[in-house]
Amino acid sequence: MSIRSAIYDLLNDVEADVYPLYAPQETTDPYVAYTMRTEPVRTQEGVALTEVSLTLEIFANTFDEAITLAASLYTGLEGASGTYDSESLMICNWTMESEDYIPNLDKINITQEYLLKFE
Amino acid sequence: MAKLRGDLLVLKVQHHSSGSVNEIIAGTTSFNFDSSAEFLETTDQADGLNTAGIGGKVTRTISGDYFATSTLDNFTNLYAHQAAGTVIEWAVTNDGAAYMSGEAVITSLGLSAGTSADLVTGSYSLAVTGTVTTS
Repeated sequence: MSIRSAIYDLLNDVEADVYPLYAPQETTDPYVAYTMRTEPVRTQEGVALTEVSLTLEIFANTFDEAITLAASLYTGLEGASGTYDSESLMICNWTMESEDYIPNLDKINITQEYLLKFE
Repeated sequence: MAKLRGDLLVLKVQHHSSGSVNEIIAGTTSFNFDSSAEFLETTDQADGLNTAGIGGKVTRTISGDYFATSTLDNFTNLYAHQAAGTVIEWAVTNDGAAYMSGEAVITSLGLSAGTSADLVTGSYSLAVTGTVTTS
């Protein structure tokens, strides 16, 4: 029961190939590696909610594959709410998306960022 | 000199419809207590370059901000007291111990909503009436 595992559950409901920090070397494209930054929002009674800035790095061999996975993640995450690993997610808001080509890996990379609020 | 943590100085208001005394306003993120006094100047020629005067009426106000609760009960209760013109009681505690208390009227009350990326917030202002008791 932690926000860290709640995030994994949320992502894993949308896409099976999601990995915290880095993907195993044998992972088949396309896949997602993600990082998060967690910050409390305080009131005088203590932490009112926890905000999570979630960054998804989508890797694929073709631009079409990358776009398809990015769209699938957006559909699953934008506006998502509910209970994940006993943690209550108020809302997940998409905040940014950018794209890049990585010559060393010959892969397409789409970066998505989301802001999540946990009660 | 030891410092005082922000969450240890707490404003409580008797605002609940149940009549609970000095209940904390739920979700408070900050409050300010301001006290100002009128200055009645009595400077005359004999004072030369110095200013002379006496203290006048003391005006005290309290303002604060809070996150609205999911049922909006903290806003609802404050709104009801303002609409009724109720004189409410307030108290400031320092780490749970009584520090300052008095009565007031709610002079302004706000409720703000935005997008799904925002939380609903509220604000209030109190005009303090009568004597303020300090411990």
